[in-house]
Amino acid sequence: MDVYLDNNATTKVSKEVFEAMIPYFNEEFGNPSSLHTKGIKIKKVLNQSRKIISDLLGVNRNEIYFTGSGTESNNWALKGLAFSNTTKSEIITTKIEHHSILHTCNFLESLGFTVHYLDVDQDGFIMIDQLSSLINDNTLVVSIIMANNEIGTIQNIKQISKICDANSTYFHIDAIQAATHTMFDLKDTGVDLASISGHKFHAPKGIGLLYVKEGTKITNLIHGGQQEYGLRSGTENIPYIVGLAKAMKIGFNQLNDYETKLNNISKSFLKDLDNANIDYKLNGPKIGKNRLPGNLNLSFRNIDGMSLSFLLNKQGVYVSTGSACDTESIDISHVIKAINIPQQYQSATLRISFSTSLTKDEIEYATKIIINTIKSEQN
Amino acid sequence: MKERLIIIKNEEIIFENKVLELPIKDDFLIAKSIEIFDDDDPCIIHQSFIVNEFVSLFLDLFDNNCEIKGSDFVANLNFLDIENIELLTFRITR
Repeated sequence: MDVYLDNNATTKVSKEVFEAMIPYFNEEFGNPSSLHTKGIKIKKVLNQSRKIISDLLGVNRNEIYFTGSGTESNNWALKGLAFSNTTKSEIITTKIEHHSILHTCNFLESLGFTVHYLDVDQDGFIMIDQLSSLINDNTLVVSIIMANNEIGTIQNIKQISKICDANSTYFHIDAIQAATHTMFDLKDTGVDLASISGHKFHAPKGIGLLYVKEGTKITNLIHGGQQEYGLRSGTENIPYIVGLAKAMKIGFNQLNDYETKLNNISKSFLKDLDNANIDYKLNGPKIGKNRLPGNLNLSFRNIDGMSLSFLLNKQGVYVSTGSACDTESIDISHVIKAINIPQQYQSATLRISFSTSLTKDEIEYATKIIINTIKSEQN
Repeated sequence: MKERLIIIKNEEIIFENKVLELPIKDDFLIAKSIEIFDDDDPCIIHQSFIVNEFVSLFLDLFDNNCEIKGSDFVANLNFLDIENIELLTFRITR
């Protein structure tokens, strides 16, 4: 039996999404910029998709810009602000961001920007006092990962937004792991920019979006034609945009059931680990409103994480390790480092991310394999 | 893969370490990387996966025994970066 427990890495394109996309590969293939029937028809589809998404997010249509990935959205948010707002030179982010933010910040540091990296507590929550003390008139943007992709911590976006607002600082959220997995209304949260990626919620890889609040001063990363209101050139990827809108609609409509079901699976899994006397540590917040549904990040005492993942893979159970690739060594991830877990638990961290499509048999099989493998390795 | 490995030659221990430290020839690591990833320059994480693959194959040879003779598995153990495999005894402990 094969059991995929790596849904925070990527998700399967759902049947409904796949079917919605198919006509736009060959039957309805026009260029939305063309002023003939084939093009006009596709322009309408593009506008409708944008409207579906903007309605779901509670924002205006002209605030949604399609991109090629979440990484592009994150890059564009920070570089686009940095290149068009030359009077401010400080950025605040956290130590637990995705590399698409951290490496973009490194790049901007090389151009002379000063970047402050906020500490997090043992559950991965940012230190609000530290943010308040660092933010100043020279702060261009605060960029925070809304739901951490490794340990599932969901930050208090509204609280951070108020601090940014009071200091006239742009606020960008990396909502790539959050969208459709937890409720958020962009208008209500008051953020200025938000990154989203389709493949995290059953749309294909290669499509994302950046929300940019009207009035935000941002420049292009990609120059060319006038697509995406002249800010992101390149012929629009219509099949994938249709897929993104469809997946987002399904995701938001199912959100309540989704959260309940995944939280129940997570709780039941942890109970099974407890009953089997497995020595583990749950990284990130307890299961509930502050943790990404279906995300479990677990550290096991005195085990080699790569071997554990290898052994699970051999038995058809697919999970992620918390390892980072260096040129010379395998290091624990920067997120796990930032939350300071005890030394003896650092060598083996697994991220297990469930989906609602898992069957009872699959969950039981995976639980049994994980428990037996850990027991065998910990003894 | 918590096992420890002892390699004995002429009644002398010539290797004692975790089984994951099994010495593997570089050209076998590269060949396996090409087979699995089609990559002749694997990153450290992929190298680690390949090492696990070899160690797993190695452990399978024990078939619930704790000791094997190199002379019985010369062809299977040709990836080991040790000379005179036929003269070696491999012992696994937990």
